[in-house]
Amino acid sequence: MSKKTIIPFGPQHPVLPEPIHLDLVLEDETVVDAIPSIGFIHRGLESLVEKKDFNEMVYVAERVCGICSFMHGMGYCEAVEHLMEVEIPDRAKYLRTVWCEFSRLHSHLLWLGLLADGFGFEALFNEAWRIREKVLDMVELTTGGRLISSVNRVGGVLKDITPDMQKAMLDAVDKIEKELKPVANTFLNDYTVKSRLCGSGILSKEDAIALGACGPMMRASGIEVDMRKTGYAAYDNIDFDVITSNDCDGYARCQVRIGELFQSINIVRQAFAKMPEGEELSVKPKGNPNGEYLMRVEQPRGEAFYYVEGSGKKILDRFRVRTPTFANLAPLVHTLKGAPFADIPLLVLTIDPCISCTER
Amino acid sequence: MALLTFSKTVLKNLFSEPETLNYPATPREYPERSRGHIEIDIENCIFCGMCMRNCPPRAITVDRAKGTWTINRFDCIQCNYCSEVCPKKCLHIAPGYCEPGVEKVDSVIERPGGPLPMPKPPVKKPVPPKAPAAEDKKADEKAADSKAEDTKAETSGSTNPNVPRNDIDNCVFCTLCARNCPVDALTVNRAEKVWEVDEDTCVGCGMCVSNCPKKCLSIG
Amino acid sequence: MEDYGRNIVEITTDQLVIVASEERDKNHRLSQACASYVNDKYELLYTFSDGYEMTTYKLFVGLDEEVPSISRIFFPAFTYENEMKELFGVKIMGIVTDYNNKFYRIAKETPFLKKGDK
Repeated sequence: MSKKTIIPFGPQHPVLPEPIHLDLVLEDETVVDAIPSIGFIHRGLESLVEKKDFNEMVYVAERVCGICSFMHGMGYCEAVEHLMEVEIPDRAKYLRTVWCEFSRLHSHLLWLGLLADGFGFEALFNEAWRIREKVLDMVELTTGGRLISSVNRVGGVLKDITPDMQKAMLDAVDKIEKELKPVANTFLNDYTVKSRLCGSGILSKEDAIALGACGPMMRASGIEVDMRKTGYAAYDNIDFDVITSNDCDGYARCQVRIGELFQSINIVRQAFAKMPEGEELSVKPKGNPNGEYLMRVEQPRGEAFYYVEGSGKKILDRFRVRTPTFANLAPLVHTLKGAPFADIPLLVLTIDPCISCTER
Repeated sequence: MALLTFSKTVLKNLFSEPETLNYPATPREYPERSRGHIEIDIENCIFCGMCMRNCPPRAITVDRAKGTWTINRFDCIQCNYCSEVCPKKCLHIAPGYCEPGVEKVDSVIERPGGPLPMPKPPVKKPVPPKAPAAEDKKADEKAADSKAEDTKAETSGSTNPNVPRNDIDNCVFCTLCARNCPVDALTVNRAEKVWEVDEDTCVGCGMCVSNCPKKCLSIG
Repeated sequence: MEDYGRNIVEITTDQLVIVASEERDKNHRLSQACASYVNDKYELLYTFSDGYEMTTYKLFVGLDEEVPSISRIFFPAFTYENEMKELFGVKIMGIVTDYNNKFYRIAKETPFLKKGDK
């Protein structure tokens, strides 16, 4: 038996823009154990709920994370709306769906870029981010912010998508689809990419359940769970299949996310086709939230939980976000065990880590 | 397995225009809805302080006595909530981000023609805000049988959620609400135990609620 | 789809480990666990899911009461339990990987408890 060495990984590491620290126990070149530690950027946003009223809290909630900002805002609003039993206008539901899918598009493209960067394919990284730019332009055109949209409120949305904007968005979506095809082809079929991803970071179906994995991580292990099927926003009227893969490795996760990119494009088209006309975008909630509710939302990285508890006051008692990366920490530790040291950055990337989300 | 799947894209990129802007020679054009900075039509501002109290990062300071509206643009998160809550709709967000700087500075906007005149107290001899509560209670009890009941019926009748309501049993008629109302919508008469709100004038800013020492006012 | 967001079952501290073992036997996954501090006592929530079905167990715990850890049954519980322990000061005993209040690098002890409560 060889000697064990402990190698620190992070918090500053070239593949990760955000700080996560791993203590890796190595035997030769193989990892035998890993202890994750986070906590470099804990901001205590959850406790701000004791100072802001429930309408103002939307703006705090959506600043939990920059990438899934829209969905954080929406998740919080949906939770409070369920709590107060507010039915939002139909058009607002569809608008939320469109923006949700645009945030999924840009989040997955960001991840693809980072993954390509992680295994040293710089040209592919730039290509993925070039497509992402088109998505961000559309988000800026319709909401006013490139990442932080600030269009949600408890009871609906604040801004409408005008027919001109709708046309611009549909054109952009067509263009994105066209440009995405060669990039997706490279990710899925290229020899170098495949030899890097195939067989790395195996997470079996049983382990995925036992370790509470979520999102694409879980679907890549062959479990058909996508919280969009629970029918929040307008997803109950939209026809889509859950994308899964049975390969359970890094390549499968890439496959699932690329599949979801094309699916998102499809959902945007469907949502625009089914979107009802209407002037009313939001309803004013009556009274104050009272009771508790646990809302689930499918974020690009997986299912996120929003727990709100109110006692009939303007200020909620408790707001809690469980972000997907937090749930994926345990599966990450599992996949790291037995992996060669050179694969660590790539494996950390395959869970699509978002540390500022995780720590809130 | 395929080799050289990316070569076509590489060749295409080699002979096409760059995707990036030649910044700063070509400036970036912001779309109309772009949230860059907050602007104020100071002439319409009534200095109610709604924006100050609702700003998530507390970047706005409204000084009624000096007639200034101050924003720390480095603290502002461009969420647009102030313009959502502004009762006079004199705040709006415009494209164009704040210039970078070496330190956080406030930008102060003064009302042309000096501060708004402070509303005159409706009662000639207003009770100071820290009036002994016991005295008021006694007065309340004396008048309770005769007048309080009719006033209660009168004030709780308002169903408009944007107008303040008064829990008349706890009210000490200190007139602080009326003195702080930016639009003079409140009438408080201590001697006759009358508390009235003019629903047409009221902008629902909540200034009265935040100044009420007995916390008997509520809005929304 | 049924509204699982309100599917909250109240249990006592003694039942927690039994409930968790049952959920583990049914091959459900631990979705989330969190604490909140309302009306001078902790409220702990443990959510288990099976596909889209979700059950949340809620227990009320006093400030000095000890709570057994479920991280031996559900390994991923260690992150949630460390978080509860550090932010709220819930006395959770026997966490598999106990960070001893170093999970988040924060200066204050139990920052989510209101001042003067502890």
